Amino acid sequence: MPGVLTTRIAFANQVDDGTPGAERVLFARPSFEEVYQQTFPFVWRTVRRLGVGDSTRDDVAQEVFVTVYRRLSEFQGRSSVKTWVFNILMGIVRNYRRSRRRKGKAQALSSTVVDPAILADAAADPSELASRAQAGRILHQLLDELSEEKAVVLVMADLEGMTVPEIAELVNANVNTVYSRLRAARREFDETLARMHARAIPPRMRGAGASNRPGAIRGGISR
Amino acid sequence: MTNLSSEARALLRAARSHDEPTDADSHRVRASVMAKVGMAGVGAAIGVTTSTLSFASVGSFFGTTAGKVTAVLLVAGLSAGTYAVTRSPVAMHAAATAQGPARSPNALVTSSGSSTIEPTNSEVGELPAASGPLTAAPTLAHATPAKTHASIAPRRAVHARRTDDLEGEVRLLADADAELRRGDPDAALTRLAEHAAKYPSGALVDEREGVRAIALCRAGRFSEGRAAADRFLSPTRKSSLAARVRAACAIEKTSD
Repeated sequence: MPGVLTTRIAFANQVDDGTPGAERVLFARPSFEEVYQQTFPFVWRTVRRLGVGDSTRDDVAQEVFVTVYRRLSEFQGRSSVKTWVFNILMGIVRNYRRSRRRKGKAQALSSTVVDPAILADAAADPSELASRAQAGRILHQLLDELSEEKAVVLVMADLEGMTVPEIAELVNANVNTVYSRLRAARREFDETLARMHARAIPPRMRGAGASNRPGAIRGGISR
Repeated sequence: MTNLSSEARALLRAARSHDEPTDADSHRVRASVMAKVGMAGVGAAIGVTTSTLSFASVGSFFGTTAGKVTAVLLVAGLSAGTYAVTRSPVAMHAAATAQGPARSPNALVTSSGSSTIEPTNSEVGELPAASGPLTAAPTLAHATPAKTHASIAPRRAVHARRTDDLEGEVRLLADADAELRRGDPDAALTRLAEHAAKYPSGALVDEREGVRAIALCRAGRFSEGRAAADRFLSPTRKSSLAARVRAACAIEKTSD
């Protein structure tokens, strides 16, 4: 049938209760192309948000899908495709981060200086950021400051829009643990953003003096 | 649950769409994945040089699917500098067994929006020949209708350009690359000019421009070569062919 993806059928034993002849559930293993189409945007966004730089994002995404291709026969449908791909992704991202640390580039993350004008403009009119790539840059810098566990839950909850139970399945953790991580991640994210503001906007620029500066924040950051 | 501050929420809202991939991102990564698994697995097992590959028969037997696979592998070969195009076991199997009427290889766009690669195991013999894009899952082979279609995300078109003669495009670019390999950039340019005349808006115009830049620079026509390279290269282009273009024309890569 032209134009139709061929799907192979495999049987996965979905119920393992030890009973002979336990229920066997028909499982349609997706093709590589289906997995790619379904998960590429997620992989592309996530590798960047978890600290993979623009210059290496292609390589990391490629490695994820080469691994997906090679291990697709192992996928038994016990989790969602997204969860399965995410676990592959995390292994590769961790290797990348370890490699980056060995090369001594990690320390650059915490000392990143943000253009003051960007933050000032952002606070003055956040909606303008929608048209600016700088918002993404600031976000990446803030996420880089979080631990991996916190970054993952914050990205999944506040950027991917996943629920906590979904995240718990994704990261194979208890729901309460995820709630706790998310609470801590949000607090840290807020605090780091406030520090960035403080660094970016000198005290003398806050308050009345700032009103003379186009796009600057009136009265500093209200928290 | 702790809520984010209004500033943080505004930032997240503004940045949410920042990391979305473009169709070009999707296509580029898929091509590199296909090249890697295809060249390492399938290509290593069965290699056929472009000069001996019958593109007419490829087009006749496989239509769009084989054309796409061939094109992907050609681009991979151009990029890697291997100058070889490989044919997969599936394609060869299909060549020997296909009985149905040929389908016109007139588009790069399919319902899946992409080319796919095939498994390397022995199960490929059970695949229906030329029945649509080949799939990769190396599992038990029971071809079924599109059972999982309802469960997957909507697909996006990858290629904007179409061509009526993908095999012809592939052949000309492969010939041009072969001329380069023989150290004859002028002959390569002749082939590329032929490609430009026949396929002014073909599916492989980007690749043509990249190979043309290399040929011009190797012919000592650096100003023209660099102009062509400028057209081919972009700040976001990261293919291996781009690396070849930069090397041939002595263009330094700008850092991110």
